[in-house]
Amino acid sequence: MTELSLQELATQATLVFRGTVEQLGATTMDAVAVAENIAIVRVDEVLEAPESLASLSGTDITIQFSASPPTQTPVKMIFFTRPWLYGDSIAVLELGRREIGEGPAADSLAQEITDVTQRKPDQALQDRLNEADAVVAGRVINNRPPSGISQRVTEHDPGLQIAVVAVESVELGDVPQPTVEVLFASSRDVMWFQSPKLDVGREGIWLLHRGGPPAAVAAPTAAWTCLDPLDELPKEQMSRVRGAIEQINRQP
Amino acid sequence: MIRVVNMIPRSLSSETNQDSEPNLAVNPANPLQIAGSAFTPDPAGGPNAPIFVSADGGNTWLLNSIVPGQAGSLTGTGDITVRFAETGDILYAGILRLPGFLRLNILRSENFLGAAVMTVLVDRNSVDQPYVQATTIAGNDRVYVGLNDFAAGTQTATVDLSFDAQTPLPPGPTFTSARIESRGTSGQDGPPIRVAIHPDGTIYAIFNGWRAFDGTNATTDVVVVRDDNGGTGATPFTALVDVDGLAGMRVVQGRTVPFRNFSQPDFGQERFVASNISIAVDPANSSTVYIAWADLEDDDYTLHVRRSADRGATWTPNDLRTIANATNPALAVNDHGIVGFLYQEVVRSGADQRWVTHLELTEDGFASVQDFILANVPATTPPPIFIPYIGDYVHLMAVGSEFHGIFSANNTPDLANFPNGVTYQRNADFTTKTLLDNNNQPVQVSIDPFYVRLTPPTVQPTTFEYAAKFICGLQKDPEDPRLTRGFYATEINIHNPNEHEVKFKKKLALTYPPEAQKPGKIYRISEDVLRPDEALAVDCGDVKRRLFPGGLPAPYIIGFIVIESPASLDVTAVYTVAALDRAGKVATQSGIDVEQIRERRKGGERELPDLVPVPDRTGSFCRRKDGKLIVTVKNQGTGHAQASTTQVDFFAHGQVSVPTPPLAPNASTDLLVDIPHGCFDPDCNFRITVDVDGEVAESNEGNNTADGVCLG
Repeated sequence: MTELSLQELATQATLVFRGTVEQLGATTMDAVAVAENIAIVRVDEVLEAPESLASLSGTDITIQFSASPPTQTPVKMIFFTRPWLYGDSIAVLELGRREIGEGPAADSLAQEITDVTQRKPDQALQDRLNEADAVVAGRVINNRPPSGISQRVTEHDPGLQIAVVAVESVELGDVPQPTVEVLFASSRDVMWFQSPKLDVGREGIWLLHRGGPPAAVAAPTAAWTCLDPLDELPKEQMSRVRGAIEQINRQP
Repeated sequence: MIRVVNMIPRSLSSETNQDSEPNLAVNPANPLQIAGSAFTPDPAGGPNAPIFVSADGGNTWLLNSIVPGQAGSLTGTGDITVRFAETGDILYAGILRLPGFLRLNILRSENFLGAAVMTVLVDRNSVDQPYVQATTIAGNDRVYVGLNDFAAGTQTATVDLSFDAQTPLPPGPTFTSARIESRGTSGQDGPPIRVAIHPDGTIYAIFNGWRAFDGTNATTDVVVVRDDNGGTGATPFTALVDVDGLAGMRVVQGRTVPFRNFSQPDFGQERFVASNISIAVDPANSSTVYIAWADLEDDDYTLHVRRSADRGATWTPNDLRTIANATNPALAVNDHGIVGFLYQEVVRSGADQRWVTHLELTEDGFASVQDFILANVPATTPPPIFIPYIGDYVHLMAVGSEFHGIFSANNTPDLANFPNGVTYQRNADFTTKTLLDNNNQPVQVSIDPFYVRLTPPTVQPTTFEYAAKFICGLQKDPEDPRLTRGFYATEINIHNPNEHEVKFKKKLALTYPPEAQKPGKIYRISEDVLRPDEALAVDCGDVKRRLFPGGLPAPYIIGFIVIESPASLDVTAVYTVAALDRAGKVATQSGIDVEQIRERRKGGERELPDLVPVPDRTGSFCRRKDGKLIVTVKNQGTGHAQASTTQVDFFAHGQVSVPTPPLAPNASTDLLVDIPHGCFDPDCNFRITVDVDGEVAESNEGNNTADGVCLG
C-alpha cells in the first residue's frame, strides 16, 4: 500500500491526534476482535476533530493500523485516522502515522497539519466554485412559484420557488442585471432543509448553476439554480470568495 | 419482559441530531445481531453515513459508518431501511442516496460490524421510499424492495426483486422490477409500498393506489397483491384478482389520504405525506395476513387494522382496531400467532401535545389488547430541524416469539416519560432530567431512536375438545344387556361459528367391541377444515366407509367420536333409534334425541423459561479452555428465554458480564469468560449468576446462582 503524503493524510483524515500506543493486540471495545493490527491508544492531544470528538484528549481508544503496527510500547506518534465504531469508546481506522520527533521538527509537523486543516473549508469552497456557472452578491426582492415545472408527488419534493435577486455585484460568470431569477428549494424535507432558502429580504453571496444538479429535479436547463448547501455564503465572506475566484482565474 | 433502549452511544453524548424515521433489522440466524437506521449523520462529517449496530441483542448499541453517503450531510442519507436475510448474516439496505435526488441504492454488507463500506448492488434515479425485505431460500438470498418508481409511467407502485442477492461482484445479483399497480391512477401511486414474506413462498405487498389527487388530498384504494411462488413467475404478484378482473384486492376504496408536506402544529409537528401503511403475515399460516393504513376520518388522521384469513381474498368488513390522531403503524406476528401493533399517537392539544408510542399485543384478533406504553414525551419540543419530525415510518418485526421494534422520540431523560422503563447509554441525569456530554455539561434535548424488545410469555395453545357418544348398528339380541334391541344411528353435526377457518381432527374411541371392562381401539378418522359458518356431519355411514369398509367389527359399535379443535365449535349429536320386528328388521322409528355436546378446554397455561448454570458431571463449575472459564447456561423451562446477560463475579478480582443468546426450552449454550489476572491466589473463587439483570421472566427465579472454585 503506497504511503500517503502528509498533505494527503491531513486532507483525508477526520480525526488527527497525538497519541501513545499503550497496548498492542488489545481493544477498548468488545465489538472489535483482538488482532495483531489492533491496539489501545491513549489520545494525548486532539489536533483535528469534529465537534462530537473534540473532548477525546485523555481517553483510551482502539486503533486498527493500516500497516505494520509498532513493535513496542509505549510509543508516541501522530495518528491520521477516520472514526469507525462509536460505542462507550471509539475505534478508528488508521490512514497513516508520523513520528513526533522533537524540537523544531515537531513544531514544523504540527504547523503543517494545522495549515492543511485550516485550508479544508477553503478547498471545499474552491471545489464548489469550480462547478459554479456564476457567483453574485445581492438581495432577494421577490419570490414566486415557477411555472412549467412538473414534479412527481413525493415527500422529497424540493418545493421549487423562484427568487428574484437584486444583483449588487457579479463576481463570476455572465448574469443578467439588475435582477436575476434563481430557482431554490423552499422545502424543509430531510433532503432539502440544508439547501439555501432565498426568502424575501435575504442577503448573501450565491453560487449559481445552469439547470443544476441533481438532474431529477426537472428544472429547465436554462434556469439558474442554487440548491447545494455550499452555494450560499454570508456577505461578510466576500474577500474569501474573491480570493478563491482569483485562484480559479490564475489556473491555466 | 420488555426492554426499551436509547440507541445513542456514550461516546456521542453531546449529539443533538434529529435522529428520526428509524428502521430495524434483526438477524434471524443470530438474534443477538441487530442493525438500526435513522436520519443520523456521520459524527465525523465523513463521506459515509452510519447505521446503529448491536451484538448483544439490543442491550448496547454502536454507530458504524458504512453506508455510502455525502460528506458534511446532517442526515447521512435520505430514506433508509435495513434487513437481514434469513441465513448467512448478510445485511441489505435500501436507501435514497446523497448526493442525489430520489437516487436509489440497494446495498449489501457481509459484516455489518466491520469497517468495509456497503457494496452497491443497484444505483438508479427516480425512486421514492425504498423499503427492503429479505429472506433466504435454498442458500440464495431473496431481496424484495417496495418502492415508488417514477420511471414506471403512471403505475408507479413497484417491487424490485432479486433471487440471488448474495452473488459477489462482478457480476453481482440480478434485480428486476415488478409493477404491482394494475389500475389507472391519478398520475402515480402513493409513496409507500410494503412487502411481507412467508417462508412457504407466499409474498404479500400493500400500497395506496391513487385514483385522484387535488394537491392536498389523495383519493386512494388500499390494495393488497399476492404472489404464491416468491415472485419467481412470469407475472409476479397477480395471484389476487378483484371483482373487476384486475390483479390486486382493493381492501377499501375511495379513502382520503392527506398530503400536506409541512410540519403540522396540531399533529405533534409531524407532516402528512400519505406514507403510513403496514402488512404482516402469520408465520404459522400464510393464509392469515394483517394490514394497517392511515387516512382521514372525521378530520382525524386515523389508523385502521384489518385481517384476511383466506390469503387476501376477503377481509374483515370492519376494522379490528381503529386509532384516531395517530401515525406510523407497524405490524408483526410472532410464531405463536400473537399480533404486535406499534404506532405513535398524539394526545392533548396546543403546547401540551405529547407523542405516545404504543406497542399493543393481541392473541384474539384485537378483541382484547395488552397495551405497552413505550414512551409518552413532549411533542412540541424540540423544534423541528427538518421534516419528518419523528419519521414517516417506524418498524416492528418478530423473530420467534420475540417482538423487536424501533421508534424515534424526544430524548428527555425522565423516567416518567418511559412507563415500561428505559436504558440510556448516552450520559444523562435522570434526577435533574438533563442530558449531559462527557464533560458533564448540559446538552439540549433532541430526537433519538429507541429500540424495544418485547417477549410475550409463551402460552400453551388452547385446545377445544368434544366427546360425543356414538352408537351405530343393529342389536337384535333381546338378552343383550348392553343395549336395548333396536337399530341405532348417530349423526354428529359440527359448525364453525368463527370469523376464520378452523382445522380440526376427529377420532373414534370404541368401548364396544371389545367386551366390557376393556378399552377399545382408537381410530383416527380424518382432519377437516371448515371456513367461517360452514358445517359438516360425521355419521355411522361415514365411519363405516372410512374405518370399516369390510363391515363393522360387530353388529353394532359403541364409543365416542372425539373432536379436537384449536377454536371453539358448535357440536350437536342426533341419536335415532328404530324398533325391530320379530324378524329383526327395522320396523318404525321409535326415538330421536338431540344433544348439545359439552366443550372441554385444555391448555392455555403460560409456559415460562427457567435459566440455570450447569455444572459438569462431577458437579463442578470449574471448566476451562485456553485459560478462560466455560460457563454453561441452560433453559430447563417450558418457554423460550429471550437474550439475557450472564455475570461471573470473581469477588475482589472483579466481575465479567457476557451476553447470552436466546434459548429454546431445553437448549443450552457455553459462554467463554475471561478469568481476571490475579484471581488464582491461590485458588480462584467465583459466583455465576444467569439473567443477572432480571430481563427474563422465569418459572423459578431462585436457581440462577451457583458458586464455583478453580484450584490453583
